[in-house]
Amino acid sequence: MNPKRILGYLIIDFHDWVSYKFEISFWIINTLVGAVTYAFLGTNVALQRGEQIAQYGSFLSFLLVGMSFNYLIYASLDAPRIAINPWNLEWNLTLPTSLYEVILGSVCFRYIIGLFEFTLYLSIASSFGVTYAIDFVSTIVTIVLGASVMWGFGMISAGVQIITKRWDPVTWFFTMLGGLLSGVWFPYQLLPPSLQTLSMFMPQTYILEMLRRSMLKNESIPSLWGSLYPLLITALIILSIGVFVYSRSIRYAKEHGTVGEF
Amino acid sequence: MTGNAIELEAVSKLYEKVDFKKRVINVLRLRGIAGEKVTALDKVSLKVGRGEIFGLLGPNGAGKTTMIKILTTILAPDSGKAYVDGYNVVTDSLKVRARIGVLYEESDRGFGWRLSAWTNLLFYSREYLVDDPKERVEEVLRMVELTGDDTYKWFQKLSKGMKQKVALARALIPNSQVLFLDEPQRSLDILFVLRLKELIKGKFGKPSRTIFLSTHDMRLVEETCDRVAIIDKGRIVKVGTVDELKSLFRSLESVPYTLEVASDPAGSFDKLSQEIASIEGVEEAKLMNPIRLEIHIRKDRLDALNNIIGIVMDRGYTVTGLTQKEDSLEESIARILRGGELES
Repeated sequence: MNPKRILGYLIIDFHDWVSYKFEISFWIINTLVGAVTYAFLGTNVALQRGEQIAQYGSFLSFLLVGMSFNYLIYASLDAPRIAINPWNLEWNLTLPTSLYEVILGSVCFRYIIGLFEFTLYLSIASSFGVTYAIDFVSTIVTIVLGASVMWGFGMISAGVQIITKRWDPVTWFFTMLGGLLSGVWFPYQLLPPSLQTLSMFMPQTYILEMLRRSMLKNESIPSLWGSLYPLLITALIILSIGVFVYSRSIRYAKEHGTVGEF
Repeated sequence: MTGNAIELEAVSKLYEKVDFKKRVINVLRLRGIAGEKVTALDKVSLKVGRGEIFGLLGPNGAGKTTMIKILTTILAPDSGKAYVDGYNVVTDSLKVRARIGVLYEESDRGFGWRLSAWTNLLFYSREYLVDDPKERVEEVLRMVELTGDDTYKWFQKLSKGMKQKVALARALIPNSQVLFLDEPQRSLDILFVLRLKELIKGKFGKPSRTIFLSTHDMRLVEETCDRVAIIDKGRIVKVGTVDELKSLFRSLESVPYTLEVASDPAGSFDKLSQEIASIEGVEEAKLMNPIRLEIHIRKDRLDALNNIIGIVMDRGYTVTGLTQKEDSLEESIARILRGGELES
């Protein structure tokens, strides 16, 4: 074994790594945000007795609903990005299939898996003693609206990736910061006031709160209306922006001949 | 709507090289930033009739793939109009896509590499809304001679040639009226290239089909195409039948012959060529290699052939061949691309 050869691999990997400058920046931020998220979680071991938790029954029920819904959020964000994979995009644009059929078709399977994960998490939680008080109508409406908002963001993300080919700030924002700010792991009310303000701008915060209320507190649509209608408006706005950004990016790629580029 | 299968009217395409930041700024249309521009197509006009097998030839970077990408709707022209089967490729792109089959140069894209050829093709059959998807997959796989276990292997496990066959099969799935083939012979073995020529000539079982073939393979073009366009630096420089292109540089005054001898032990073949060049009726005698000459003889003095053979034998050489040289498509195209003057 020659150490020079080992060093050769080390150096080439380093050069490759530093060539993705954007990714390095976000890797550093990701690491910091991850550390902060777990620090909040770790320093609040007595959460179960917290006021914000008590209303949902237990910390386990609070956590499980948050985590299970996160899978559906990933599915919504991920599906449009998969559909625009440069390896397939060229062919997707050659087929007599409209762009929206392509996206919807690509979303379906991801959603089925997401729903399976969602159900699995809830079932396992149930076996650990979590009890649900579900209003099915408001739960389904919340899931559909929440998925629509995230689908809109997913289309924005995919549109950005068609241009940048690599960097995906939208998915990063929602998956990384979402964990810290929107109440997936712990109530956002435990955050410092400045971060709580940021939480207010994240749709997941409202989606998760509504989902917990509809699944754990049996709240119906009239009782959730205060949170529901802003979510409905948000869904309409974000979906429209998503469609606009996505179609504009495709047009840009067609005009500049970058459809099949990586 | 036009009566042609394919029509381009003054189509131009420029590629602009811009970096990441400029790309983002441009897409947001905050302001237009111009980068370095490269002309891919320069006011190209072309018509391909229905049922025609049309070849597109040209050097690397001439604009062949750009033209195919515009015609198959994945690239937007900067100016001009293009129609396929009567539909505008920009405004009626979905209708165009429903009427075409495509084999791109990067033919292994769009396939699931951990799925079999069969599963991949079945997906495409469904997207094209084929009446009986399974039957159609069977049919196209038989056409490209891909049968048995190979059809159930993961795509990634197939050889390059087999992958090319699967890509060709995908292009055939929609049984379209217009078929675009970009370098279809790539990676295929000799036997299947022969089969491919037959398939193209028979238009893959649909005689009314139009084929638009882009390739570097002159033989494929020569043996299959009704007409050929030569493209260079984004411009169509010549369109004609294969025979027309081959005869472009044929001299009206002389006939080319190739003379070959068994060997040149004395090393004086060059001297012999000068002697032949001085024979009355011989316009030119060029040494092609140590034992081969190209001789141009005036059409009204073909009797000079007797004198040529006489001199060659007198000098002790054994003649192994004297053949009239055929017009070469390759040579004609090379001369067109080099900007050669037409002699006839």
